[in-house]
Amino acid sequence: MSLVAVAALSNAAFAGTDAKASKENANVKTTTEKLAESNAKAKVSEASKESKSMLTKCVYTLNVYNGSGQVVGTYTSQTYVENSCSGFFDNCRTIYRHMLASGELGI
Amino acid sequence: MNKYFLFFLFSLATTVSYGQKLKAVYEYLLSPVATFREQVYFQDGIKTSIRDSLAQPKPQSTENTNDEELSGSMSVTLDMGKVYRNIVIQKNNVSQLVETRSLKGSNYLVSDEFPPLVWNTNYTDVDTLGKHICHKATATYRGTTLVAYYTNDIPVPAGPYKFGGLPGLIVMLYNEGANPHYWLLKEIEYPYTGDVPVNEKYIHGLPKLSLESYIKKDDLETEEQMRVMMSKMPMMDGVNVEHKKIRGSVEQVYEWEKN
Repeated sequence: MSLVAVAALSNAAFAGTDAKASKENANVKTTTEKLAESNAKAKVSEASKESKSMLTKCVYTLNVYNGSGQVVGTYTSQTYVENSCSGFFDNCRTIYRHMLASGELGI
Repeated sequence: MNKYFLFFLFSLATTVSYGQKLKAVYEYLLSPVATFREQVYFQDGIKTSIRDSLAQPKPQSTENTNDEELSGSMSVTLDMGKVYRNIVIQKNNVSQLVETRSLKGSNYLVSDEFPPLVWNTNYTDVDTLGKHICHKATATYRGTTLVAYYTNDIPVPAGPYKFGGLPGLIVMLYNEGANPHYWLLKEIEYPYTGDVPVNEKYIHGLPKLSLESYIKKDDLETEEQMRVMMSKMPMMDGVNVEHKKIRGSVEQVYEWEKN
């Protein structure tokens, strides 16, 4: 196998990795803004990577207990924000309290 | 020789203890939102465990959210109808026990083919819990591992809920796992001179279920409630909501669920 052939194979392998990484990162990116149709996968991948490193992952968990006090399930809400999680937590609290007050959580 | 001597001592202590009534009160912590009081009576080889229907008042809020943190939580309790006292009646040397359980606001008498607990007492750990010198023991039980600390000061083979069979009274017991339950001995009357506050006529008049039927019905009811709740969860742009089912009881895997 010639040196050129090895280089071509390497490029193909890396291209595959980029495409996969790009797809994974795109899932993250779409949580904050819509991605334009990608015509340059490598570029999108790089942009998503930067974006992901700047974002903060926030997780809010609703623990559900039965009448005996045993945990029977959880609902985990997860998002990415640019700054503090406080806004997201406030929203979750407000929504769940509203659902509690209106009896929508089966309470 | 030592083994035979220890066995003789244990048998003697057990025989002597049968003649005296015991009342023990445990604090039962089964989750961050619920702590119950459980009374255990032991007489003539019959153990009766009574767990209150109402949880003890909680001193702190169950909502845990610190805006500086990256995670927050909130707790809700499903309304599954009236909850009755959980009463467990267990006779020594009989594998089947009966207990009362609540389901959709009704009380049932549930029979449980209780698997024998094989305790491993080969531990050198000795701890002082309260005023009792305690020894460690472990046992495998329905998909979890029980860790018990018992005291030889009170030679009664009793303990909380369905557990016992050790050379002395269980002072502390918990199960290992993601949702551990803890029982801690708080009060003891030995010998106890009062009566066991259980109306056996009422208990044996309750509708009967096997444990397997009860668990299947209870799981279905919980799943239905969770499904309804999930359907009411609002869709928020950019927010991913995941539901995870959890069995928060001590029992993680029942005999009929294996394989």
